[in-house]
Amino acid sequence: MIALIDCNNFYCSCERLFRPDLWRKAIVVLSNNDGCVISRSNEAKALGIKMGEPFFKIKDLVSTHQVHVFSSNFPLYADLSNRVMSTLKEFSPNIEFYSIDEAFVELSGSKEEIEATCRQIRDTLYTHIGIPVSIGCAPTKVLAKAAGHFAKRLPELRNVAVWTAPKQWNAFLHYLNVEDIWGLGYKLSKKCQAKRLYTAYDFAHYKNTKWIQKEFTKLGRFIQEELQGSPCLTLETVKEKRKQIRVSRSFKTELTSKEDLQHALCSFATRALEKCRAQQSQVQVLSIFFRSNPFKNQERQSGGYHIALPYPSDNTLEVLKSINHVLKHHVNTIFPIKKAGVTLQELHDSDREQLSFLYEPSQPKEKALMSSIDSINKLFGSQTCLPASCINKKGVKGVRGLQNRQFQSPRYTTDLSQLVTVT
Amino acid sequence: MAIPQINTPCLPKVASGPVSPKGVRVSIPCQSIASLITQQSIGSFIKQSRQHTRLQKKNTLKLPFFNTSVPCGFTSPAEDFEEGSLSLDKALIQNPNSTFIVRASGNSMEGAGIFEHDLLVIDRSYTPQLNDVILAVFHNEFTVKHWCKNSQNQYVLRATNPLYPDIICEHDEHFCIWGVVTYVIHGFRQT
Repeated sequence: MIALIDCNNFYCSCERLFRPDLWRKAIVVLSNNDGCVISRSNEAKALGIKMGEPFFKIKDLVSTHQVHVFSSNFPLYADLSNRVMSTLKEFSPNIEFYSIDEAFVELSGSKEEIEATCRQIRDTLYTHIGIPVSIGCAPTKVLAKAAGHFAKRLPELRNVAVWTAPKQWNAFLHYLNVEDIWGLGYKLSKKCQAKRLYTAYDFAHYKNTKWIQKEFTKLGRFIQEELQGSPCLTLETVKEKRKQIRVSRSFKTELTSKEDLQHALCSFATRALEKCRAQQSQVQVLSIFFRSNPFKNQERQSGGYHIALPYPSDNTLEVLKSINHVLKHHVNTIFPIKKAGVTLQELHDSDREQLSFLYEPSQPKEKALMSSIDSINKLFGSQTCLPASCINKKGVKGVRGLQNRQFQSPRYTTDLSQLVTVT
Repeated sequence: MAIPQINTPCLPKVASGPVSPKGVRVSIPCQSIASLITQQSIGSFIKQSRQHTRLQKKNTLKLPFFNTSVPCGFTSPAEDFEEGSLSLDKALIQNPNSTFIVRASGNSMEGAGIFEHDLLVIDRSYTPQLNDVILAVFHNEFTVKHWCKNSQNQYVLRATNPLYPDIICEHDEHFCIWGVVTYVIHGFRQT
């Protein structure tokens, strides 16, 4: 049996842990640059605030109903997520960390034993870490996700739903909309509705499997089979390497000079290459982009460049050199830039370095330099050791300072100077 | 003097042909040449064998020759007994997942050794027992107190400072125990 453990309103729950005054209040957490809502407490949901809603649209609602607003505090969320995942590991060695607040865990035993284990997991996470979770447990991943959907929303289930027989899940699948099936997005669910498939039950028992295969590919067939109780998707206990790495941000005030753009792009590239080295990959092709504010009443402007390196590299300094070259020789005019980013598009494994007559393989000295920088940053904190182009004229390191973070909460669990004070 | 035999285990066997006036004929497989050239012993062996045949005509010269590498340095007698250095994390944090740290303020618990600016280590996985020092939430605020029973057998939050009266607490929506205080860290030199 596969259990899906899903933290309830995770970012909001994290913000509440050290704020007992907010335990029953409406709170929302905003995305980077305080753009949109990325988490809402149940009380905020009840006010009609939707997921992904831009912050400026709910400003009136926020002041009328005294909704508490938070900028994202990822150091706090990451720390609490690690504690949750580490605790889950004690319940089962077979675990897939699906996202920052969800994990799939393999459980075995009788229905009663599994239900007892799920309740124990829920109670342990709430007592030990203060994070409430909902657990859905079923023979397949898709069904576990569906069970979790109901566990979260039906108070009578008390956050745990265990489905062992088709009779149990078929009853619920009539009440699950197609767009809420895991793996089917909005567009695909529209296709289903065109064929009069409105619920998960309809989708699961649709006889025209050829049409499913054609419109939804193999994955669609897997989802069908899984909804019927036959496992097709395995637990990915080993994290797959990313095929692309992108680092991009929006800015509080638009960038107007080439130096500012260079500072931003170099910071993004540095961060992207840290991730690239961490997964033992090298980049062959990367791209940079920057664009104006699409919401302002003006012509939308954007710029983008693909950079093909002569050989796969994981060396930050080489990649920065190529980006600076493009900026110097190819970018002429600068319009006010609202968002920019760097994408590492073609990644190769580091250990499958292909040799060629035309270039030398990466020097041991360069590799040693990169690994020293990574070790220093790991020990003393990220951004301790940075390329000079990541520090702008005013001495701002990286791009965190360029973003809106009006409602930042303290890093209660990762910074000794930001602990909560008790009397 | 007999030419010393090289019996280094890492090198392939050196086949010795008939001794000629110009030296011992050595046949070595090609791929091992690199390892042989770096091996000082073989180099000096070949050099020495040439010198030897030249000298043979004049005098015999005994040369000390080490045919194995000599380890330099002195092994520490403590090597087998080394342990990691002391860790305060290990001493103070039994369950990292459920342990949090907060900062104390005020003078209500000085009798228990908790002073202003001290760090408190809180473990949420411990079941609170009567008379524990706990971090509680009372009317939406954090407070650190002893959790005890008064003479009327009611649960109370008690401070060590007599200026603070007992707070009667029942397990309802206004009161809950956030965690048990396991250690207080008091610094003498406050920075």
